[in-house]
Amino acid sequence: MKVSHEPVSLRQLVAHPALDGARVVGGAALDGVVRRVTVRPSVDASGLGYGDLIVVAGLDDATGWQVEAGIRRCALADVAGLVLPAGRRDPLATSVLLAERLGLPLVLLAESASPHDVALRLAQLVSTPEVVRSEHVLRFVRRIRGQVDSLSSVTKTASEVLSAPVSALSADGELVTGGHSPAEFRRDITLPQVVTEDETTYVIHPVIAGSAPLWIVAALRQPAVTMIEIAQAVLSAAEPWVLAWLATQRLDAERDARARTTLLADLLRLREDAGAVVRHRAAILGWRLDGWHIGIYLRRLNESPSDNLADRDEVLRALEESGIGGPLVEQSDGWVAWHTSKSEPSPADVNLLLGSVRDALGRLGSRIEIAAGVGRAAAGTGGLGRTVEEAREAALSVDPTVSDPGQDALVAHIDALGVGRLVRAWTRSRSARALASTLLAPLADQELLLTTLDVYLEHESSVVATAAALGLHRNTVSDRITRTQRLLGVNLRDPDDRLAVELACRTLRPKVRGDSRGE
Amino acid sequence: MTVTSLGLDDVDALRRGASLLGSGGGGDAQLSGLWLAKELTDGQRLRMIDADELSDGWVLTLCAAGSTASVAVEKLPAGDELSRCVAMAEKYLGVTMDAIGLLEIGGSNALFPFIAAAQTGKPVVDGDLMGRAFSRLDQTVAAREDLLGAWVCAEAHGAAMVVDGVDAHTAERVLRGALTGLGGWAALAYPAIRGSRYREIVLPGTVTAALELGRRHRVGSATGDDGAALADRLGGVFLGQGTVLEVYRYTGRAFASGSVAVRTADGQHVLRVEMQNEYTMVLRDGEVVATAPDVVCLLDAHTLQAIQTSQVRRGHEVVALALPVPDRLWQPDVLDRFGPRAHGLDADPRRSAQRRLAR
Repeated sequence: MKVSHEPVSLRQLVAHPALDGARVVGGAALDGVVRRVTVRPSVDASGLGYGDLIVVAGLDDATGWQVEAGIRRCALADVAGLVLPAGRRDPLATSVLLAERLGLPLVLLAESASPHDVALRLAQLVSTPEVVRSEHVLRFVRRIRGQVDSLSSVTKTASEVLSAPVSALSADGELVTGGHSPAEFRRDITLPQVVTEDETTYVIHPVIAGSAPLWIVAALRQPAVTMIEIAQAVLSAAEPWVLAWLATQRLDAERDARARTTLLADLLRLREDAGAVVRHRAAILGWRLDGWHIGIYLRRLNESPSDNLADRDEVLRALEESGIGGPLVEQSDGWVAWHTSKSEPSPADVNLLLGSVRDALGRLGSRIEIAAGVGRAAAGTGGLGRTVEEAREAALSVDPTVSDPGQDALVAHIDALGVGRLVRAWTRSRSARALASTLLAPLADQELLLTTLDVYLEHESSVVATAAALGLHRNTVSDRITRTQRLLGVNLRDPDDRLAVELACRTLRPKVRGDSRGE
Repeated sequence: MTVTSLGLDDVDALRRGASLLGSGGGGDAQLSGLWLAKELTDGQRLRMIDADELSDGWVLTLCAAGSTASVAVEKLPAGDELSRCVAMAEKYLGVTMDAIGLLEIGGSNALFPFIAAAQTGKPVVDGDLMGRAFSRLDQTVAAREDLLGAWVCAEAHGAAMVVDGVDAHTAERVLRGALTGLGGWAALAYPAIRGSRYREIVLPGTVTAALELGRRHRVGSATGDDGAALADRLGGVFLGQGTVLEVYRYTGRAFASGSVAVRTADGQHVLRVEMQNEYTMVLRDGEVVATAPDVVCLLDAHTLQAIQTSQVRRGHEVVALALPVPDRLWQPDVLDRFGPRAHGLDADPRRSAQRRLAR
């Protein structure tokens, strides 16, 4: 018979699911190594010795005197242990005492257990662990088929196959399904891990989807090394199913997000003209269109790429915990939310809301950095469009690079914005960037001309002042301005042309001069 | 002709000896002892003859037959069952019985032949057919042919029954069935045997040995022997002394069988006593140390009285002994009738005690 490389202790075998309901009586030498499992029709140790575990299959119970005589012989032969059928009655007290005195562990099978089945499974575990491993993986694959309607259905199937609890943990180690998780493990390395805490060994397997991994964890009680390997194999087999489930979830979420985003876009575009169809779609999503709305625009400050969909839940939670209910709609650079009330909110209500927004930003912490804008209260569907636009402008006006990184500075109310901030807000808008890049496209590789133009406009179209500021001869400036007008096809003496070019320059100013001007 | 005479003062020794040789079964000798004592209160003395004194006359082997051993305690005898049984046998066979024989020297059955002797005036043979007590009618040293004949039964209300021409097996089956209809208990006479044949098969001197055993037991009890000392005094082997942890009685078997678990007083050893009507085997620490046909006794550790298999209980403090039986029982031609396998135990017989007591 082939011998396993990893020795299995009787204690580990007793913890095996095949011995569920079995009781250990008699000798406590459970740490003895089991190298072979043998089935015998009676308690017969002949030819067996150290490292042998005997499973007795031919008795109804262990009350007979032959069992007691056999216990003596087994102990003298130094076998690792004796697995006996329990029947309705326990062995006689003397049998148990004798086993105790001779240090022979007795394992009493549950009444329902088949000794042959138990022996086979234990023998496989001891002698051919790779067969057991494949068997478990196969069983998992057969059972899981067509059952991936939830994450818990995957963990439940794995749990049934392993006869051990299986849980799923979020990236930060919180339980998502199941009830067993290790107190500590390395969440910073997304690699399979094995963590032992007291009598429980946790086999941890990461499922990597997107930026944050999901962990699936099997909690095994005093497992043999083979059982750990089996759990690792089954969890690996479960990984694609978890991924499939995640992908389905993601698709659903994307669909929902698109529904929200297009509905909001329609509402903003149509305002008071929003018809029955749009109103119906809003009703389906549970949006209230009547009453007074205050728009909130949450603009992400993090470097892209950022996953607004994946972070949605966290933002939603932060808002709810700060007392801001209502919809949250994904935008390309963040989210739109709004607060609705029946009557016109008082200035105090608005202040309260601003406080809540600051609070929510505080809850989000550093992983999701946000600048928030808040619009004025406005009534009805048209009002919703206006206040959301205002909130967006206000959010765009926040310049995180200049201010103290306190949360207060990251929240702006449209009322508090001066004309300058409004302009700056506009220059940060997408339409401004579109205008700038279109209008100034011909100067894309003409940095010298662009800088001269910008300084010229800032100095109220004075060639002399521009020449002084740039340290150039005034003819040079004049020449450059003329070339620039020709390239752009504009006449800077025309107020309309001039305004457009100036706004475009302001939009691109960080690029143009690389400076950052404070208010 | 060597004739021993037995009187009232011998009853206690006979009862004690029979109780020990009952090996936990054979019925409580207390009741039959009282009955015999009553028969002898008038000063009558019984004649006991050696087996080799027997000649061509007839010997009638007597015992009590019950569907269970304890029925006699509940169904009080009328008093004349035994003498009617003898009379019925004589009438049916048309001969006069010359002597009364003992079936077994263990248990209450050891005393009934003496009651019959007291009532009929016939002598008793010093010997028996079992050497101790056993449960089945066929567990004797007699050959099958010796016990092929007329079995006679007499019961308290006057009913008598003759089953003729059957062997012990069949007689046992018929009688057990019939006895349930006759109140469960009756006097039973084995087929009468010629004296010349009886002296060939009987285990000689077992009554004398039982009397000696009883006397020594009385002395040991009075002296306050401990278990080991008493075993030594009785010529037996001390197996252990301790507390009964558990008594497991198997159900659904023909005989009352079970196991007694004992932990020795020093806590170092365990004794497991298997029983089937009698105590039949002892394991010490998982090793078989005594089996039938040797006698196994569990005695109350305080009174040193034998404890019947039906009486042993958890918490009893007991002494376990093995007592020797006549060598004849260990001879291969009959050992199968008496050994562990005859008591439902698939084990080889193990002799622990050699007979050392002088006759």
